[in-house]
Amino acid sequence: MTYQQYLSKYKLNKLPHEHVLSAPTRKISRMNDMCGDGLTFYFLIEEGEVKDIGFDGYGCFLSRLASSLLAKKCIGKPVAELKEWNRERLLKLLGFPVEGVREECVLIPLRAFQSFRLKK
Amino acid sequence: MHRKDFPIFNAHKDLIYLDNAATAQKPKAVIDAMSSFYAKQNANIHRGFYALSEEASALYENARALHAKFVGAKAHEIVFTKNATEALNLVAYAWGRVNIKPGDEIVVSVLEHHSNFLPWQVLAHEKKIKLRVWKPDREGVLHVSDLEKLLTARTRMVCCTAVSNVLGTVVPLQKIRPTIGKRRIAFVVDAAQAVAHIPLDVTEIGCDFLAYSVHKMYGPTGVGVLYINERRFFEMKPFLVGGSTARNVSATSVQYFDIPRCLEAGTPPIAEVVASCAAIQYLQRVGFSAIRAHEDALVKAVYERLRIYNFVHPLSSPKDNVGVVSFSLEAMHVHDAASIFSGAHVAVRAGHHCAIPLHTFFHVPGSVRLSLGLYNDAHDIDVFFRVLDSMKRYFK
Repeated sequence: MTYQQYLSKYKLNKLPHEHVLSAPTRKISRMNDMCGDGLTFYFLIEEGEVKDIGFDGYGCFLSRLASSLLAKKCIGKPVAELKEWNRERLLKLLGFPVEGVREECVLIPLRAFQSFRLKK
Repeated sequence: MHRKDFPIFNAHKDLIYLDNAATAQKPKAVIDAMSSFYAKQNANIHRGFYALSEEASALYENARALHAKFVGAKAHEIVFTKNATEALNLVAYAWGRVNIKPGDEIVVSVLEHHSNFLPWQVLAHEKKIKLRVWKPDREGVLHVSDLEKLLTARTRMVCCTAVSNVLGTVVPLQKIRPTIGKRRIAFVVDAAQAVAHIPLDVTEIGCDFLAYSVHKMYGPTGVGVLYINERRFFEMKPFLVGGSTARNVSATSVQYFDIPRCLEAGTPPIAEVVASCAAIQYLQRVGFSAIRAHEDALVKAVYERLRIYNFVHPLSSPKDNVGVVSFSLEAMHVHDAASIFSGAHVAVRAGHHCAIPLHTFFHVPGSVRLSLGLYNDAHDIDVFFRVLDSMKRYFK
C-alpha cells in the first residue's frame, strides 16, 4: 500500500495499537528532534516474550503508521527479536518510499525499540 | 507574471513554488551576475594593489551604496553579514553586550522569527535582565497601545519584525519610534520577511538597526544586510574579529577600522554581494507597487477560497498581508499535509517556521504555510486548491 492509501484507509482515526497499555512492564518515549513530535511506547513483557505493545503521543501519520506496523510485527515474538529491526527492514515493512527528512518520522519507533534493547 | 525570468521553472516544469518566505527563486539576471563576477572580475577585496582587486573592491562597495539607497541609509551604515540571523546576532554582541546592564529590559514581540527572539533571550539570561513579550490580538495584529504598557524607565531595546513570517501581516513600524521616544531605547527591526514585498525606509521607520537576507529578495544565499544608524557607531565594539578588521595590531593591542569594515571580519561572500545588486535592480524594475498589487490580489483569492474548507483554520487574515497564508488542519498533522502537497509538486512549508512562541500563542503545534512571490499566478493557486480538494476524503 502507498502512503496515501494507508491515509485513506485509516483517515484521521487511531491506528491499530495506538493506545496506552494499562499495566506495561516498560515505557519508553522518543522525540523527533527535527520537528518536536514525540511518541511514548508501552511494552508488556512476560517470560521473555512481547505480549503487547501500545503507543500514544503527538506524531504525524508516518511516525504513527511505522509505530503501528512495527508493534504488530513484534507482538508475540521473543524480546530478543526486537533488536533485529533496523532502518532498512523498517522501511521495507512500510513498503513505500519515504522522502528525505521524513525518514526521521519513521525512525521514532525504531529508536524507542533500540533503546529498549540497550537498557534491557 | 515574470515566471519566464526564473530558470528554475524551466528545469522543473511542474513546480508550484509556494515557499517564498523560506527563500525565493533567482532570476536569470542574478545567476548571470554571479557567473559574470567569477568569470571576469574575481579577486579578493580591499587589500590587493592590482587592477583586478581594485575592480572587485569597487563592485563590492558599489553594492553597499546600492543597498544603502535601497533602504534610505548612508553607505557606511550598511554592514554585510552571512544572513539576517547573523546580522541580528551581531547587534546582540556588538551593541547589546556593550550597552545592556543588569536591571535593564528588552521588549520583543511574540511575532518574531527565532532569529529576532533568541539573541535577546540569550542576552537576557547572560545579563540577568527582563525580556518583556509584546503580544498581538487574536488576529495576530500588534498594537502600540500594548507596547506602551510594557515600556518602563529601564527599557533599553525594542525588537520587532516588519512582517511576520508566519502570518504575513505588516507591522505598523512607523508608530513605534514615536511611542518609545527619541534616543534612549534602541529599535531593532527584522526586515527579512518584508524586504521582497514592501519598500523600506530606515529614516521613516526611525530604527537604529534593520536586518534582512538577500536570498529572500531573489538574490543569492550567503548575504545578510545590517543597517546601523550612525548615531550608534560609538556605542559598538567589533563582534567577530580577525582579517580585514584591524588597522594596526601589536602583541598587546589593536586598533580597529571604522564601521562598517571592523564588523566584516574575513573574506566576505564577494560574488554574492555583487550579484545582490542584480536582485535589487530586478525588484526595482518590477516595482513594489506592481508586486504588492499582484500578491495582494492572489492572497485575497486564497483566503476567500479557503473559507469553504471546514477542516482548514487560517492563523491570519488577508488584511495588510504580503502574501502569506498559514493554517492548521483539523486533526491532521501538518507534515502529512505537506507530503501530500509535495506529491503534486506543490512546495509549501509545514511546521513551526522558526516561530514557536507565536504558534504557542495560537495554541497550535505547527501550521502549513503558503507564501507567495512575484512569479506565482492563478494557475499555482488552482493547483494548490486541487490538492486541498483531494484531501477532503481524509476528513470524512
